[in-house]
Amino acid sequence: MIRSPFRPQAVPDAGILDNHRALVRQVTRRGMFRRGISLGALTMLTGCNLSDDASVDAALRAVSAFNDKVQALLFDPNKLAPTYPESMVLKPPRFNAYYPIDKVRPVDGATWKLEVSGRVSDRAPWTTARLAALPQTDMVIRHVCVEGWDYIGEWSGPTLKSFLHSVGADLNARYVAFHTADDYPSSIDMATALHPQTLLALTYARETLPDPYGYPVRLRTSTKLGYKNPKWITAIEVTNDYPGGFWEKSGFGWFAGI
Amino acid sequence: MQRRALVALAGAGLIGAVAAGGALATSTTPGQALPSMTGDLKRRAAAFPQPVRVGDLAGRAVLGPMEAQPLYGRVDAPPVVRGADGTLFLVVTRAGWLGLGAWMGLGGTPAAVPLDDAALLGEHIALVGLTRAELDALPSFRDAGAAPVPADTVIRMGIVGPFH
Amino acid sequence: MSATYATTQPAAPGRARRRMHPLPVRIMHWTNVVAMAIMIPSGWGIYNDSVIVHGLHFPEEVRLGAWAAPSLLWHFAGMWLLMANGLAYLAYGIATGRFRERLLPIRVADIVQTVRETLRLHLAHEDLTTYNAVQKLLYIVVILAGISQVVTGLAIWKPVQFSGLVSLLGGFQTARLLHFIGMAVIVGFVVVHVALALLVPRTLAAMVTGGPELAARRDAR
Repeated sequence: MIRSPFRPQAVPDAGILDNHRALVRQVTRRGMFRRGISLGALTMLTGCNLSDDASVDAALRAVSAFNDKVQALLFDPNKLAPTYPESMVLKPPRFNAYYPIDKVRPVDGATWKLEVSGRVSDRAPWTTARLAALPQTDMVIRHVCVEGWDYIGEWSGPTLKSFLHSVGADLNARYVAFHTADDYPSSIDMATALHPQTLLALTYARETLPDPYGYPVRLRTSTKLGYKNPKWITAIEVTNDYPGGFWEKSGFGWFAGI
Repeated sequence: MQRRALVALAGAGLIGAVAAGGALATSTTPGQALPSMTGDLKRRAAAFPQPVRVGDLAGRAVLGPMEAQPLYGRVDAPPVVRGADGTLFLVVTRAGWLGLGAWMGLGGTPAAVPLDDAALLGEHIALVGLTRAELDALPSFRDAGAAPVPADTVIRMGIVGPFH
Repeated sequence: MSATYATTQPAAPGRARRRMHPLPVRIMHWTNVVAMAIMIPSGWGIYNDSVIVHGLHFPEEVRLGAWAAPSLLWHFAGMWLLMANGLAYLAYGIATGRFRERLLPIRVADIVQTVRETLRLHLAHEDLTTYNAVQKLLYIVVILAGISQVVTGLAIWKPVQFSGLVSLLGGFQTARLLHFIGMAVIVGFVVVHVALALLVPRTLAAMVTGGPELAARRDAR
């Protein structure tokens, strides 16, 4: 039984589960829809056969795709998320990933390079020093996880907008996609990428990002749920082709705006 | 304080609903940790210890490392003491009967928990090295012989993510 | 059978017969049952990932969705049904005067009297078409709880875009808590409502067939 999106109950080794995640999910989903049949009225009135998990899943995902469009309409590119005094910052922040803490693989900042690809004019890789040389923005914002918990954190680094300008990105492209050292692909819409509170964060609470939180660089955007903030970023791609993401494949909404 | 009152209200409402309808919602058995947890979890939590200010620990909820996140107690003030041999302990007021001890600030006796049996779970503390029964079996802690660690001291504690 | 309904009278000549539960009400009622059957157990699935009442956790058997992602998919699909149906119900209740007719006036003295009668096991339910004071109060509370669920739900869904609403509600976690309390109120209502409907099955039948015909409107009140 899979108990969670974020903390699969990794016994005895998370790797085994990772390799069969899709299968396990599918199996549990099937069980879920069987139980759904007992909701007799539901079956009767929706006209859907809930035992046919593929069609129900497809219908639910179609609504989710529609919700993504509604969310994009609700998103106000000029609306800033509330900010808070530094005294409210949680130190250290909460750790979260799709694997347990001891599976974190620290990245060596000295040899780390950020690859740039897609619809950009300058594909030269970036170093931490180069990122640190861009104008830095500091923000104290609320992190909201899809699970329901939240905390206030202080992040700083260059805005993703300034980075995209620096690499000559096509700002009319639809998506900015991220690849990470922990194999957690993610992507956001261009409007969010250009939001003034979307940073390539290099520090937390004015200290270099500690290993479990994504050193040397992670995304922090104030207008999306936590799972849209990939850590340990290794490559950024500007593209018009829908890139999806790690949790989105399992059914989490893609837009995930807050 | 207001939030706690609201939580109490929500709890009362839900308990009422359950009592009327008969077990629409049930709680998992408290103290029933996931099988792989105890030793394993403590080892994991120690993988990337992080700095934390001692004063910031006061009042934090101490939770069981399982999905239902049962409340085992709350961190006392002073939150951390140093034993005669230099070992650090987290002082936890145990929740006691129905969790009321730590919840409402009633009753609840303090216990000294070895620091590495606890880990940071966001703004909470997870008990990763002791079961609830072991926590409740600890002798009542009296500060004689243990020196409070000043609030501004920065110590290192293990961290964990959510339990599901 | 119809003789027992105190208010049943022949329909006024030339006027359409008015049923206790007109067809739109019946459709919206059963649509709402579906919406509740989606929103409540899927909400429990979402709740589980970060509990509000420590120790309270919903077992898999009562959840809709084996883990958070399907629960969220159900919840964010069901929300449209809930909102569309809820808005239609409110518009209908206000426009046709049904709310005013059925739920008002509501007096404290009447509530006290109904509670007293209930405790003496004197529940008058011969006349289905008139709600007693406690029924009126419960319906008003659950309608308000439904509205509150939509408002607090919006705040939780979009705490940045609707940050003003979140502040008004007392913050993100308080909004979550209010959403949870609203659920508890609705579940409590459903338990009582279903129990009473099963005790007096004619009420259940009325929500299918429309129930007894109504007397002319008591506008004088």
